Amino acid sequence: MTFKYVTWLAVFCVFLFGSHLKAQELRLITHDAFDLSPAILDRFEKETGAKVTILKSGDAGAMLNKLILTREAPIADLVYGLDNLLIAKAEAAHVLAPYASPAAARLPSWLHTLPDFTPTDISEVAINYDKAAISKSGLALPSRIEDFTQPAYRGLLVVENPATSSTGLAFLAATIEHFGEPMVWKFWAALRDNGLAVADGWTEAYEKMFSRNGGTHPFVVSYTTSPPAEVFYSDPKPTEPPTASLPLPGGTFTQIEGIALVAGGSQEALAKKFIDYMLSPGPQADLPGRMWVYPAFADTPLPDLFRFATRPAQGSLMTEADAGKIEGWVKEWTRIVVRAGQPQ
Amino acid sequence: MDPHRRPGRSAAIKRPALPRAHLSLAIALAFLTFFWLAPLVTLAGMGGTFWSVLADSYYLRIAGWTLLQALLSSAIVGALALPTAWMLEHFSFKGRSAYKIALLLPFLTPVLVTALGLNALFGGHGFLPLAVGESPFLLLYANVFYNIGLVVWFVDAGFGRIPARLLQSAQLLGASPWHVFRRVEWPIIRPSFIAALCLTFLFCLNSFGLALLLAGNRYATLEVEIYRQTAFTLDLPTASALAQLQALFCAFAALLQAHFDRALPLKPQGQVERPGARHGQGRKAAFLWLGMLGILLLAPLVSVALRSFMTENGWSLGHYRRLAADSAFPLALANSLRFTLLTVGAAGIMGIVFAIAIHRHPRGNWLAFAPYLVSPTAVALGYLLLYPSWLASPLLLIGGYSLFAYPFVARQLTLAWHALPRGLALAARTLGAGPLRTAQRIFLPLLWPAMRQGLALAGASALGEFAVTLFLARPEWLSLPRLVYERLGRPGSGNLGEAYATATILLLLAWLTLALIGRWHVGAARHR
Repeated sequence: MTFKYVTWLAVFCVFLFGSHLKAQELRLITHDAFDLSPAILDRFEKETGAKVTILKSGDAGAMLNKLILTREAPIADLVYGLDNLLIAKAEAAHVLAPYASPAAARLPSWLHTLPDFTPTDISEVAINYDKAAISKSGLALPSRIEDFTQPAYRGLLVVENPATSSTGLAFLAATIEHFGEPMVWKFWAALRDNGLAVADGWTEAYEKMFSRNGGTHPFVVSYTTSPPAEVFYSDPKPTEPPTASLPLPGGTFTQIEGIALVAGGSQEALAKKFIDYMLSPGPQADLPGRMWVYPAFADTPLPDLFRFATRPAQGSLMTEADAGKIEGWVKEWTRIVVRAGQPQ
Repeated sequence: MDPHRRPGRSAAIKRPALPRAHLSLAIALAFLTFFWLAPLVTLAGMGGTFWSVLADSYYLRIAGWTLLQALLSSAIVGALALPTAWMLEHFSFKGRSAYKIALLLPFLTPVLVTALGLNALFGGHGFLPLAVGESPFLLLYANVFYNIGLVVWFVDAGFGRIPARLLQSAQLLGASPWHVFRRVEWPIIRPSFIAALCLTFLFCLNSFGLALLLAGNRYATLEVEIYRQTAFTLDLPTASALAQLQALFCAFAALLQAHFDRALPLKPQGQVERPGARHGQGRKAAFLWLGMLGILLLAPLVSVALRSFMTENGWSLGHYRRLAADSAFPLALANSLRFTLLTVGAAGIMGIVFAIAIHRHPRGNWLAFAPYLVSPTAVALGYLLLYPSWLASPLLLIGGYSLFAYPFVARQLTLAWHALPRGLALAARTLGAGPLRTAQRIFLPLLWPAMRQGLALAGASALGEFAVTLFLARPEWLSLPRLVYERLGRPGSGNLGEAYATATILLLLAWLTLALIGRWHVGAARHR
């Protein structure tokens, strides 16, 4: 009788807590845009005998906040998707552990790494436009970023909120690099007064508010690789992309994306192997066609569609001291653009 | 075993069946301290003060709108609920009790299901696109949807306390229905009515999921801003300051509610048949009103179900098929069932503990609804700050779920216990039954129906729980509401379809929980 109860209790407990009884598992936290061919992940799993669990956690910024909030009991062993702006905040919060991958030694010097961060790919944030909408309106393409503050371009541009989107933060950094403080805040105030639209994230901006996808804004902050992606996802495939990117000075920013160990994560040896693996030829060649980024190694073959994209310029990594500065930018941007404050 | 042969039992008889009342009070307070008070105190100590956010015009606007939407919603709810309760009192018809019970269903509908339903109904591509772009309409509709049943029930309980002889005298003296309402009914139902409106106001202040999903950027409330400051900006001092402000509003509403929630010294009368209840004038108009209200409440839920079957190739099970093929769905389903089971167990135990504590210490009545005095987002944020090393433990998650579920059990038990004839337990003890036997033979059978109702309500609320889930979310804890939310965040009509399908399953599960655990008899409608 007692035995029967014990058996049922055991079955019940396995049902309630069964998920904790799994085998060796490598947990990779990343942003929602992460995508690798199943074959690439399978090969790593076969080589190591481990199971890779992908944890998609929203935008890269939200993902980092989650890492910071859970650093006492880390939810992942590896993080993929931090970039040259977010890395400063991650360093300041001590959520990463150092690892110098031997594979990274061959990277070009301008991609030179921080001790906790291994670059895997690069991309360039730039304004994209809807070709059909622009030719229909008869508008000339802007030649300077300041043109978006002119009445002719009123209400045409949508940007991502840098407080909630890494794309938005990159674009803000580009304008700051171009205008310098405090001039840049006058520019943003003028943009705001000229009907600037702000989306919470790239998805909302590009998939909902961009005129190409049913919205009313023919200009959107996206990537130089978005036009080839447009061709790829269209059915039937057009010979020319329906969109193009605008390489305006002050409107482009090179994003260096990478992978890092999470401090306090388990499976350290396995995690290091995964970092090395991401820099090996297989995954490097897989990245462009999956996530629409340029691989870190310039000699990696690119998909044919990349003829519609432009290779990013060289960028730089922000250092630890800049975490507070970046936070200050976002605060000031929020004060001026979201809360309609006056530039000082 | 003859009690007359046993001397020295009189002391035990004076305190029948409740030897551990102080212990239960201690456990209740310890539970509240750990899962409720300590996280809030930690949050309050994060550095920000509500003065600092009040000086900022942006936050001031959000705070103002938060109050305004709660006031507006309460006013609309009041205007709809009062006539409804009056009609339910004055006209008798087949299925009246069932209608009253059905009015409570929206209150237990998972927040995400309602939000999706309203979007399916009134949103950009909806059946009746009334709320395209940024508009506060959906938020107000949702607030009314959730609270109208509650207010009708409170007022209905007020009607139930009107002494029959008062009504008979009024009729004898030839008073018109309006006069009867003005002079006899209104003075007696007014405290219940105002108390219910205060409760509505409190719920509207605290509703997180609805505001997050329906209010958009312009009409976001304090709750949403607290979440944004935590998840995106990681500005904890500001989040803490906003939470303090929110707590201040809630405390004010709760004090007001407690002030009006003192029942008049009138015993419940049961249903009194009114003159003209079966054939009087206005019956048709009343049915039209009740029917319209039913449609208003059902429409969002029906929309969700309809949308879940609509695909680009016409009506089909496509969304469900894709969902079944996705490995996330079985995980979410298993987790939801798992969490609900654990919560029902924990909330059941804590509900009993709180009921015993309240029974022995009637001044601790507020313990039964303490968790509703503050916002769930504030509590969840407090967990993040106070118990960082416990964040991976399911104990914290289940504790959070139980915190918002035990009040259902405690309240149902307290009410039923209060209604028990006092002599029963004493009689049992006089006849020689020990405390255990008294509990087994008297309390258990008599309180069991109330217990089951409380557990059913707790289970349904745990299934739809969203705020705690969102803050403590870990990928391996994916639950059905969380799955709906994730699908909503991804582009494309396929993901939206899967969200509708998941929401439909969630709704069915919630109702199944209510039907399976709770024993709902029609008489229940009166004793609240």
